[in-house]
Amino acid sequence: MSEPATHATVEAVMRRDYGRLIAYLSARSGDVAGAEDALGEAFASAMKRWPEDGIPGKPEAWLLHVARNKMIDTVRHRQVREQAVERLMVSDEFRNQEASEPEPIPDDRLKLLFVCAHPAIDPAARTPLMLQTVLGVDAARIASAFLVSPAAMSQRLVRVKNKIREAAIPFRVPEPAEWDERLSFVLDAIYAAYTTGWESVAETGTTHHALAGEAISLGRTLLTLMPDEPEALGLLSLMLHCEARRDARLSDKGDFIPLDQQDPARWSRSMITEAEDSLRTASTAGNIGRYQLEAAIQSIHANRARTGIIDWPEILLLYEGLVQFSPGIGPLVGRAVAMAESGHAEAALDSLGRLPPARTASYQPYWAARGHLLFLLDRKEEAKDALTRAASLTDDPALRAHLLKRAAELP
Amino acid sequence: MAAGIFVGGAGLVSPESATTVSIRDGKRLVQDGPYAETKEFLAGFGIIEVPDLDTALEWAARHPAAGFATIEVRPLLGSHFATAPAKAQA
Repeated sequence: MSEPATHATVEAVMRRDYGRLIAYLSARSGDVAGAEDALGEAFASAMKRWPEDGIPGKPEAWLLHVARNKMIDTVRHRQVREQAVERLMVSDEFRNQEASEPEPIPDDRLKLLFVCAHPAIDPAARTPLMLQTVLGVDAARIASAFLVSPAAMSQRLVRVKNKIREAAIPFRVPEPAEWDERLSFVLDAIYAAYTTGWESVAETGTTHHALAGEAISLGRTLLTLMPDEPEALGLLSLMLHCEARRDARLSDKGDFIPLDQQDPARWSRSMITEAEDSLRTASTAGNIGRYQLEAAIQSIHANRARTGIIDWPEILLLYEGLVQFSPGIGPLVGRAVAMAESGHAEAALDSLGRLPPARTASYQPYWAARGHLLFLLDRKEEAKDALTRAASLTDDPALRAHLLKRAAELP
Repeated sequence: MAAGIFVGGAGLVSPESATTVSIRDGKRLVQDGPYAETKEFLAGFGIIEVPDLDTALEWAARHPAAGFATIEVRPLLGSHFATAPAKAQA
């Protein structure tokens, strides 16, 4: 068997089975870092052995077997020192499972996702940990998306993996009593992968953020593990709706185009169709939540492709629902815009004025919305000030240029 | 030991392994990390033996002090009392 064939197989297995293999090994050892090390060594062995011995019939089972043996060896070594008893139990379990070699490999990725988004894990580390363990995204790429140095990101990841092992965070799917909250942590971490860098990617010619594809992959993985969960469907729908508009966000010259002025012909039909299907399936469960509402708002915007209009009163209604679930600053600003576009600009401006200044001072969408509302109310000078302030709060050159242009058009 | 003064003791795993739990308005709050404020102080401790963090948090949250104070959960180093991953609560 040739080396290129080995390379291709290893890569294919990495892409398809990495998360599943890591999940299997860490769920049984409680040790994510140890699982990664062992699987890394197993991949290295494969690169050496497969060109000579041939690629095994089930490469993923071969890798799992080798990785598992390596983990047991490592554990044995450690036992000479401190944590003897606990680790012995683990390796015994490994041995027993080896007797009845399971096929296919059991899927523990859901447990792994819940560990990554466990409340005892630093919220800032949850998304990177998911990307690395479930999808196998490398730390340098994650670091660049999160705008930190690779060293800092590696350190953060090492720290949380130590915590998982030392604090003995269990690999399990949460009980019904804690289900909603624990699931929301998983969904939030996936959505954070989608939004990371959205405001701050400084590469010319793109305002598109770095991890959109990976975030959607995580969303799809979650749905293969819980196909009927309405909020997981809502999250996928939301991400697909946003992703469908990627190319329409900028003109050919690289100018920022606001959503209500984008050319619907440049939206991805196939993504919108999938987004709408997901949302429809979600709604049959009759269990509304934050992500379904956000997806529904995006769905109304997408309807403009068919109807030519934006149903702002409907959007306002959805925002009223959304602020019940998640009364954060984002939904409150969105609600104010919907209110103004529905013909209540004065009331909308009042509602913005009631938001705590500490939260709004450096929140760019707040100042952009405020500028827009003041513009609608013909208070041009104040509008100009607000838009200029919004422009100063974004790192996205296209968005900044757009806001400054709007401000410049005012006296 | 020979002096006959030793009652008991154990090492704790580093503060990075800590998790805090408290109950406010009937809702359980679990957070990464040790006590956030330097003004907070250790008011007492207990040792329980449970299989994992979730079980430790469950028991810690049942402590009456969880309703007004914050309980920090940390593993014991694998020595002295600990043959299974025990949890110290402080």
